[in-house]
Amino acid sequence: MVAGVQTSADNTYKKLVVAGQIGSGKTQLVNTLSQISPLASEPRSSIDIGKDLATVGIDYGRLMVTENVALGLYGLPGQDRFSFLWDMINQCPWGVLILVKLSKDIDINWLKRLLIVFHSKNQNAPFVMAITHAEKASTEAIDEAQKKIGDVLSDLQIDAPILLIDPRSLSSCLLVLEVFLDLNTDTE
Amino acid sequence: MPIACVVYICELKTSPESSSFSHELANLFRFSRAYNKAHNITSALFVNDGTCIQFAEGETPNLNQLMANNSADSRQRNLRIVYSGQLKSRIFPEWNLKLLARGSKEYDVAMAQLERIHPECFAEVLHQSKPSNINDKTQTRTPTPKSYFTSNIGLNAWPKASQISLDRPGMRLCSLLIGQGVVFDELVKRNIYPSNRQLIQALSQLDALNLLKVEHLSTDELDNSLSQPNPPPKRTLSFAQALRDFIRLKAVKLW
Repeated sequence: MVAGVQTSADNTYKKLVVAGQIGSGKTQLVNTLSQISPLASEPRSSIDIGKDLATVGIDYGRLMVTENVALGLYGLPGQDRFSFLWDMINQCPWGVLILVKLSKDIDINWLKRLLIVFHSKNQNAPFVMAITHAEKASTEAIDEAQKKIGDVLSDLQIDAPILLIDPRSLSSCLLVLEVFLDLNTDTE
Repeated sequence: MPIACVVYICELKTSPESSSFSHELANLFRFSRAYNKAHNITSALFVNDGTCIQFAEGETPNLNQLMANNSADSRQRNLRIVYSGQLKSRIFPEWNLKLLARGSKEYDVAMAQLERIHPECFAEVLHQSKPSNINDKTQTRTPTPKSYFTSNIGLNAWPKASQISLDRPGMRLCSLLIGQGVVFDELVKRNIYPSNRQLIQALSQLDALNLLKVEHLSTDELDNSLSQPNPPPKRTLSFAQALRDFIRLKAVKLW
Protein backbone atom coordinates (compact mmCIF):
# COMPACT_ATOMS: atom_id res chain seq x y z
CA MET A 1 0.00 0.00 0.00
CA VAL A 2 2.69 2.44 0.94
CA ALA A 3 6.10 2.55 -0.70
CA GLY A 4 9.18 3.25 1.35
CA VAL A 5 11.08 5.74 -0.73
CA GLN A 6 9.86 6.99 -4.00
CA THR A 7 12.32 8.71 -6.18
CA SER A 8 11.87 9.82 -9.70
CA ALA A 9 14.39 11.86 -11.57
CA ASP A 10 13.07 15.02 -9.91
CA ASN A 11 11.07 13.97 -6.82
CA THR A 12 12.11 12.44 -3.54
CA TYR A 13 9.71 11.14 -0.94
CA LYS A 14 10.63 9.59 2.39
CA LYS A 15 8.50 8.18 5.16
CA LEU A 16 8.65 8.85 8.87
CA VAL A 17 6.69 6.44 11.02
CA VAL A 18 5.29 7.84 14.26
CA ALA A 19 4.03 5.23 16.69
CA GLY A 20 3.00 5.37 20.29
CA GLN A 21 0.55 4.78 23.05
CA ILE A 22 -2.92 6.20 23.19
CA GLY A 23 -2.71 9.89 23.96
CA SER A 24 1.04 10.13 23.48
CA GLY A 25 0.74 12.94 20.95
CA LYS A 26 1.08 11.27 17.56
CA THR A 27 -1.80 13.16 15.97
CA GLN A 28 -0.55 16.43 17.44
CA LEU A 29 2.97 15.87 16.14
CA VAL A 30 1.74 15.04 12.65
CA ASN A 31 -0.46 18.18 12.80
CA THR A 32 2.42 20.34 13.90
CA LEU A 33 4.78 19.20 11.16
CA SER A 34 2.40 18.96 8.26
CA GLN A 35 1.95 21.78 5.88
CA ILE A 36 -1.20 20.26 4.58
CA SER A 37 -4.22 19.20 6.60
CA PRO A 38 -3.56 15.76 7.96
CA LEU A 39 -5.95 13.09 6.78
CA ALA A 40 -6.76 11.92 10.27
CA SER A 41 -10.12 10.52 11.09
CA GLU A 42 -11.13 10.96 14.69
CA PRO A 43 -14.46 9.27 15.39
CA ARG A 44 -15.59 8.76 18.92
CA SER A 45 -14.26 5.51 20.33
CA SER A 46 -16.71 2.90 21.53
CA ILE A 47 -14.40 2.07 24.45
CA ASP A 48 -13.97 4.51 27.26
CA ILE A 49 -10.25 5.16 27.33
CA GLY A 50 -10.36 8.41 29.20
CA LYS A 51 -10.23 10.53 26.09
CA ASP A 52 -13.06 12.13 24.16
CA LEU A 53 -11.59 10.94 20.90
CA ALA A 54 -9.45 8.05 19.88
CA THR A 55 -7.41 7.79 16.75
CA VAL A 56 -8.38 5.10 14.33
CA GLY A 57 -6.82 4.43 11.00
CA ILE A 58 -3.60 6.17 10.17
CA ASP A 59 -2.77 9.80 10.73
CA TYR A 60 -1.21 11.02 7.53
CA GLY A 61 0.57 14.27 6.98
CA ARG A 62 3.12 15.55 4.53
CA LEU A 63 5.95 18.00 4.99
CA MET A 64 6.82 19.66 1.70
CA VAL A 65 10.53 20.29 2.12
CA THR A 66 10.86 21.69 -1.39
CA GLU A 67 8.54 21.44 -4.36
CA ASN A 68 10.21 18.13 -5.26
CA VAL A 69 11.14 16.76 -1.85
CA ALA A 70 8.62 15.62 0.73
CA LEU A 71 8.53 13.78 4.01
CA GLY A 72 5.47 11.65 4.64
CA LEU A 73 4.32 11.41 8.25
CA TYR A 74 2.49 8.25 9.24
CA GLY A 75 0.97 8.20 12.69
CA LEU A 76 0.05 4.67 13.68
CA PRO A 77 -2.92 3.85 15.88
CA GLY A 78 -2.13 3.11 19.44
CA GLN A 79 -4.60 0.35 20.22
CA ASP A 80 -3.46 -3.25 19.89
CA ARG A 81 -6.48 -4.16 17.81
CA PHE A 82 -5.10 -2.00 15.02
CA SER A 83 -1.65 -3.55 15.12
CA PHE A 84 -2.32 -5.20 11.74
CA LEU A 85 -1.80 -1.72 10.29
CA TRP A 86 1.80 -1.67 11.55
CA ASP A 87 2.89 -4.07 8.79
CA MET A 88 1.24 -1.93 6.15
CA ILE A 89 3.37 1.07 7.07
CA ASN A 90 6.46 -0.80 8.16
CA GLN A 91 8.27 -0.77 4.79
CA CYS A 92 11.66 0.95 4.51
CA PRO A 93 10.91 3.98 6.64
CA TRP A 94 13.38 6.85 6.78
CA GLY A 95 12.99 6.70 10.54
CA VAL A 96 10.80 5.35 13.30
CA LEU A 97 9.71 7.69 16.09
CA ILE A 98 8.08 6.15 19.12
CA LEU A 99 6.24 8.47 21.47
CA VAL A 100 5.79 7.51 25.10
CA LYS A 101 3.46 9.52 27.31
CA LEU A 102 5.05 10.18 30.68
CA SER A 103 3.17 8.33 33.38
CA LYS A 104 3.81 6.03 36.31
CA ASP A 105 2.37 3.09 34.39
CA ILE A 106 4.22 2.97 31.09
CA ASP A 107 3.14 -0.22 29.34
CA ILE A 108 6.51 -1.83 28.95
CA ASN A 109 5.17 -5.01 27.37
CA TRP A 110 3.34 -3.03 24.71
CA LEU A 111 6.47 -0.99 24.04
CA LYS A 112 8.56 -4.11 23.72
CA ARG A 113 6.08 -5.66 21.26
CA LEU A 114 6.10 -2.52 19.16
CA LEU A 115 9.89 -2.31 19.07
CA ILE A 116 10.23 -5.99 18.20
CA VAL A 117 7.82 -5.63 15.29
CA PHE A 118 9.45 -2.54 13.86
CA HIS A 119 13.08 -3.19 14.62
CA SER A 120 13.11 -6.72 13.27
CA LYS A 121 12.13 -5.44 9.84
CA ASN A 122 13.98 -2.13 9.83
CA GLN A 123 17.37 -2.66 11.37
CA ASN A 124 18.92 -0.03 9.15
CA ALA A 125 16.40 2.68 9.98
CA PRO A 126 17.20 4.92 12.93
CA PHE A 127 14.92 4.71 15.95
CA VAL A 128 14.16 7.60 18.24
CA MET A 129 12.23 7.40 21.49
CA ALA A 130 10.52 10.54 22.69
CA ILE A 131 8.80 11.14 26.01
CA THR A 132 5.84 13.52 25.87
CA HIS A 133 3.74 15.32 28.49
CA ALA A 134 6.89 15.91 30.54
CA GLU A 135 6.82 19.70 30.65
CA LYS A 136 5.68 19.88 34.27
CA ALA A 137 7.05 16.55 35.46
CA SER A 138 9.64 16.15 38.17
CA THR A 139 13.14 15.03 37.26
CA GLU A 140 12.55 11.89 39.30
CA ALA A 141 9.53 10.97 37.20
CA ILE A 142 11.46 11.62 34.00
CA ASP A 143 14.41 9.59 35.27
CA GLU A 144 12.13 6.69 36.03
CA ALA A 145 10.53 6.79 32.60
CA GLN A 146 13.88 7.07 30.87
CA LYS A 147 15.20 4.15 32.86
CA LYS A 148 12.22 1.95 31.95
CA ILE A 149 12.58 2.80 28.29
CA GLY A 150 16.34 2.41 28.46
CA ASP A 151 15.98 -1.04 30.01
CA VAL A 152 13.66 -2.15 27.20
CA LEU A 153 16.07 -0.83 24.58
CA SER A 154 18.95 -2.54 26.30
CA ASP A 155 17.10 -5.87 26.48
CA LEU A 156 16.40 -5.68 22.76
CA GLN A 157 19.91 -4.40 21.99
CA ILE A 158 18.57 -1.33 20.26
CA ASP A 159 20.53 1.91 20.39
CA ALA A 160 18.18 4.87 20.38
CA PRO A 161 18.13 8.33 21.91
CA ILE A 162 15.43 9.13 24.47
CA LEU A 163 14.33 12.70 23.88
CA LEU A 164 11.91 14.91 25.77
CA ILE A 165 9.59 16.67 23.34
CA ASP A 166 6.40 18.69 23.16
CA PRO A 167 4.44 17.66 20.04
CA ARG A 168 2.64 21.01 20.11
CA SER A 169 5.90 22.85 19.64
CA LEU A 170 7.27 23.24 16.11
CA SER A 171 10.72 23.78 17.57
CA SER A 172 10.51 20.50 19.45
CA CYS A 173 9.28 18.65 16.37
CA LEU A 174 12.04 20.12 14.23
CA LEU A 175 14.56 18.87 16.78
CA VAL A 176 13.22 15.37 16.16
CA LEU A 177 13.83 15.77 12.45
CA GLU A 178 17.36 17.06 13.09
CA VAL A 179 18.12 14.02 15.19
CA PHE A 180 16.88 11.72 12.43
CA LEU A 181 19.05 13.60 9.96
CA ASP A 182 22.06 13.10 12.22
CA LEU A 183 21.33 9.40 12.62
CA ASN A 184 20.62 8.63 9.00
CA THR A 185 23.75 7.46 7.27
CA ASP A 186 22.39 7.68 3.76
CA THR A 187 23.06 10.89 1.92
CA GLU A 188 20.23 10.75 -0.57
CA MET B 1 76.60 3.21 17.21
CA PRO B 2 75.19 4.32 20.59
CA ILE B 3 71.53 5.25 20.90
CA ALA B 4 70.63 8.83 21.72
CA CYS B 5 67.37 10.15 23.04
CA VAL B 6 65.71 13.52 22.78
CA VAL B 7 62.51 14.85 24.30
CA TYR B 8 61.09 18.02 22.87
CA ILE B 9 57.94 20.09 23.15
CA CYS B 10 56.35 22.23 20.48
CA GLU B 11 53.03 23.87 19.66
CA LEU B 12 51.11 23.00 16.57
CA LYS B 13 50.38 25.90 14.29
CA THR B 14 46.80 24.80 13.59
CA SER B 15 44.49 25.64 16.45
CA PRO B 16 42.56 22.78 18.07
CA GLU B 17 39.51 24.98 17.39
CA SER B 18 39.99 24.52 13.68
CA SER B 19 37.81 22.02 11.89
CA SER B 20 40.91 20.73 10.08
CA PHE B 21 42.93 20.12 13.26
CA SER B 22 42.40 16.38 13.42
CA HIS B 23 43.02 16.01 9.72
CA GLU B 24 46.29 17.94 9.87
CA LEU B 25 47.34 15.99 12.91
CA ALA B 26 46.79 12.77 10.99
CA ASN B 27 48.88 14.08 8.09
CA LEU B 28 51.67 14.97 10.49
CA PHE B 29 51.54 11.47 12.00
CA ARG B 30 51.68 9.86 8.60
CA PHE B 31 54.64 11.90 7.43
CA SER B 32 56.56 11.63 10.69
CA ARG B 33 56.08 7.89 10.96
CA ALA B 34 57.39 7.32 7.43
CA TYR B 35 60.38 9.58 8.09
CA ASN B 36 61.22 7.84 11.35
CA LYS B 37 61.03 4.44 9.74
CA ALA B 38 63.37 5.50 6.95
CA HIS B 39 65.91 6.87 9.46
CA ASN B 40 65.73 4.16 12.12
CA ILE B 41 64.15 6.47 14.67
CA THR B 42 61.71 5.15 17.22
CA SER B 43 59.39 7.51 18.97
CA ALA B 44 56.33 8.20 21.10
CA LEU B 45 54.13 11.27 20.72
CA PHE B 46 51.69 12.92 23.08
CA VAL B 47 49.31 15.66 21.97
CA ASN B 48 47.62 17.93 24.48
CA ASP B 49 45.47 20.84 23.30
CA GLY B 50 47.75 21.77 20.43
CA THR B 51 50.97 21.02 22.32
CA CYS B 52 53.10 18.10 21.11
CA ILE B 53 55.54 16.24 23.29
CA GLN B 54 57.76 13.77 21.48
CA PHE B 55 60.21 11.21 22.82
CA ALA B 56 62.57 10.21 19.99
CA GLU B 57 65.49 7.81 20.05
CA GLY B 58 68.01 6.76 17.45
CA GLU B 59 71.50 7.46 16.20
CA THR B 60 72.74 10.96 17.00
CA PRO B 61 73.14 12.21 13.40
CA ASN B 62 69.61 11.08 12.58
CA LEU B 63 68.16 12.76 15.68
CA ASN B 64 70.05 15.95 14.92
CA GLN B 65 68.59 16.00 11.42
CA LEU B 66 65.14 15.26 12.84
CA MET B 67 65.36 18.24 15.19
CA ALA B 68 66.64 20.44 12.39
CA ASN B 69 63.70 19.39 10.21
CA ASN B 70 61.21 19.99 13.02
CA SER B 71 62.66 23.41 13.76
CA ALA B 72 62.18 24.35 10.12
CA ASP B 73 58.68 22.84 9.93
CA SER B 74 56.17 25.67 9.82
CA ARG B 75 53.52 23.44 11.37
CA GLN B 76 55.48 23.28 14.64
CA ARG B 77 56.17 26.41 16.68
CA ASN B 78 58.09 27.28 19.84
CA LEU B 79 60.06 24.05 19.71
CA ARG B 80 62.28 23.45 22.72
CA ILE B 81 64.27 20.46 23.81
CA VAL B 82 63.68 19.45 27.41
CA TYR B 83 66.10 16.53 27.47
CA SER B 84 68.81 14.91 25.38
CA GLY B 85 71.12 12.12 26.35
CA GLN B 86 72.48 8.65 25.70
CA LEU B 87 70.68 5.37 26.24
CA LYS B 88 71.95 1.85 26.76
CA SER B 89 69.09 0.58 24.64
CA ARG B 90 65.95 1.85 22.98
CA ILE B 91 62.97 2.45 25.23
CA PHE B 92 60.38 2.13 22.45
CA PRO B 93 61.99 -0.28 19.96
CA GLU B 94 58.67 -1.30 18.40
CA TRP B 95 57.29 2.17 17.69
CA ASN B 96 58.36 4.26 14.70
CA LEU B 97 55.77 6.69 15.99
CA LYS B 98 53.29 5.80 18.67
CA LEU B 99 50.53 8.18 19.66
CA LEU B 100 50.10 8.13 23.40
CA ALA B 101 46.70 8.78 24.90
CA ARG B 102 46.62 9.97 28.47
CA GLY B 103 45.38 7.17 30.66
CA SER B 104 46.44 4.44 28.27
CA LYS B 105 48.86 1.71 29.26
CA GLU B 106 51.43 2.91 26.73
CA TYR B 107 51.29 6.41 28.18
CA ASP B 108 51.94 5.08 31.67
CA VAL B 109 54.86 2.99 30.41
CA ALA B 110 56.38 5.94 28.58
CA MET B 111 56.05 8.22 31.59
CA ALA B 112 57.61 5.60 33.84
CA GLN B 113 60.56 5.26 31.45
CA LEU B 114 61.01 9.00 31.28
CA GLU B 115 60.92 9.36 35.05
CA ARG B 116 63.57 6.68 35.31
CA ILE B 117 66.03 8.27 32.90
CA HIS B 118 65.48 11.89 33.87
CA PRO B 119 63.12 12.87 36.73
CA GLU B 120 63.34 16.62 36.00
CA CYS B 121 62.38 16.05 32.39
CA PHE B 122 59.51 13.88 33.55
CA ALA B 123 58.28 16.67 35.81
CA GLU B 124 58.49 19.17 32.94
CA VAL B 125 56.56 16.90 30.59
CA LEU B 126 53.92 16.22 33.23
CA HIS B 127 53.51 19.93 33.78
CA GLN B 128 53.01 20.52 30.07
CA SER B 129 50.58 17.65 29.74
CA LYS B 130 48.48 18.42 32.79
CA PRO B 131 44.80 19.15 32.13
CA SER B 132 43.59 22.55 33.39
CA ASN B 133 41.58 21.11 36.30
CA ILE B 134 42.78 18.09 38.15
CA ASN B 135 40.92 16.83 41.15
CA ASP B 136 41.23 13.08 41.51
CA LYS B 137 39.38 13.01 44.80
CA THR B 138 36.01 14.22 43.60
CA GLN B 139 33.29 11.75 42.79
CA THR B 140 32.89 13.01 39.25
CA ARG B 141 35.99 12.37 37.23
CA THR B 142 37.72 15.35 35.66
CA PRO B 143 38.57 14.23 32.15
CA THR B 144 41.29 15.23 29.73
CA PRO B 145 39.26 16.87 27.01
CA LYS B 146 42.14 17.08 24.56
CA SER B 147 42.27 13.30 24.10
CA TYR B 148 38.95 13.49 22.24
CA PHE B 149 40.76 14.59 19.10
CA THR B 150 42.19 11.15 18.52
CA SER B 151 39.36 9.05 19.85
CA ASN B 152 36.16 7.30 18.99
CA ILE B 153 33.55 8.71 21.35
CA GLY B 154 30.35 7.05 22.50
CA LEU B 155 27.78 7.20 25.26
CA ASN B 156 27.44 4.52 27.92
CA ALA B 157 23.84 5.42 28.69
CA TRP B 158 21.37 8.18 28.04
CA PRO B 159 21.85 10.98 30.60
CA LYS B 160 19.31 11.12 33.38
CA ALA B 161 17.27 14.27 33.74
CA SER B 162 18.56 14.55 37.31
CA GLN B 163 22.17 14.43 36.08
CA ILE B 164 22.04 17.06 33.38
CA SER B 165 19.45 19.15 31.62
CA LEU B 166 20.04 18.62 27.92
CA ASP B 167 19.56 21.60 25.65
CA ARG B 168 18.92 21.28 21.94
CA PRO B 169 22.57 20.75 20.91
CA GLY B 170 23.00 18.41 23.85
CA MET B 171 20.17 16.17 22.67
CA ARG B 172 21.63 16.06 19.16
CA LEU B 173 25.08 15.29 20.52
CA CYS B 174 23.85 12.48 22.78
CA SER B 175 21.73 11.06 19.96
CA LEU B 176 24.84 10.74 17.82
CA LEU B 177 26.94 9.23 20.58
CA ILE B 178 24.48 6.55 21.73
CA GLY B 179 25.46 3.31 20.08
CA GLN B 180 28.76 2.72 18.36
CA GLY B 181 30.00 6.26 18.68
CA VAL B 182 31.75 8.60 16.31
CA VAL B 183 35.17 10.13 15.88
CA PHE B 184 35.68 13.71 16.95
CA ASP B 185 36.06 14.95 13.38
CA GLU B 186 32.63 13.64 12.50
CA LEU B 187 31.10 15.52 15.43
CA VAL B 188 32.76 18.70 14.21
CA LYS B 189 31.33 18.20 10.71
CA ARG B 190 27.80 18.03 12.09
CA ASN B 191 28.04 21.64 13.30
CA ILE B 192 26.08 20.83 16.43
CA TYR B 193 27.94 23.53 18.38
CA PRO B 194 29.19 26.87 17.04
CA SER B 195 32.78 26.12 18.08
CA ASN B 196 35.02 23.16 18.85
CA ARG B 197 35.53 24.57 22.33
CA GLN B 198 31.82 24.32 23.10
CA LEU B 199 31.74 20.81 21.71
CA ILE B 200 34.65 19.83 23.94
CA GLN B 201 32.95 21.44 26.94
CA ALA B 202 29.82 19.41 26.28
CA LEU B 203 31.85 16.22 25.95
CA SER B 204 33.69 17.06 29.15
CA GLN B 205 30.39 17.48 30.99
CA LEU B 206 29.25 14.05 29.86
CA ASP B 207 32.67 12.61 30.66
CA ALA B 208 32.57 14.04 34.16
CA LEU B 209 29.28 12.18 34.71
CA ASN B 210 30.98 8.93 33.64
CA LEU B 211 28.63 8.71 30.68
CA LEU B 212 31.24 8.89 27.97
CA LYS B 213 33.21 6.03 26.55
CA VAL B 214 36.35 7.22 24.85
CA GLU B 215 38.28 4.74 22.77
CA HIS B 216 41.68 6.02 21.79
CA LEU B 217 42.56 5.24 18.21
CA SER B 218 45.92 4.15 16.94
CA THR B 219 47.50 6.28 14.22
CA ASP B 220 46.40 3.70 11.63
CA GLU B 221 42.85 3.72 12.91
CA LEU B 222 42.86 7.51 13.01
CA ASP B 223 44.19 7.61 9.45
CA ASN B 224 41.46 5.26 8.29
CA SER B 225 38.71 7.20 9.99
CA LEU B 226 39.91 10.51 8.57
CA SER B 227 40.81 9.40 5.06
CA GLN B 228 37.32 8.52 3.86
CA PRO B 229 37.04 9.67 0.26
CA ASN B 230 34.72 12.58 -0.30
CA PRO B 231 31.49 11.55 -2.02
CA PRO B 232 31.12 12.75 -5.61
CA PRO B 233 29.28 16.03 -5.94
CA LYS B 234 25.58 15.61 -6.51
CA ARG B 235 23.76 17.40 -9.24
CA THR B 236 20.50 17.62 -7.36
CA LEU B 237 19.95 18.63 -3.77
CA SER B 238 19.90 15.54 -1.53
CA PHE B 239 16.96 14.88 0.77
CA ALA B 240 19.16 15.39 3.79
CA GLN B 241 20.51 18.73 2.60
CA ALA B 242 17.05 19.91 1.53
CA LEU B 243 15.59 19.05 4.92
CA ARG B 244 18.49 20.70 6.77
CA ASP B 245 17.97 23.88 4.76
CA PHE B 246 14.24 23.74 5.47
CA ILE B 247 14.80 23.34 9.21
CA ARG B 248 17.33 26.17 9.22
CA LEU B 249 14.85 28.52 7.55
CA LYS B 250 12.11 27.55 10.00
CA ALA B 251 14.50 27.92 12.92
CA VAL B 252 15.43 31.46 11.86
CA LYS B 253 11.75 32.42 11.95
CA LEU B 254 11.21 30.71 15.30
CA TRP B 255 14.23 32.12 17.10
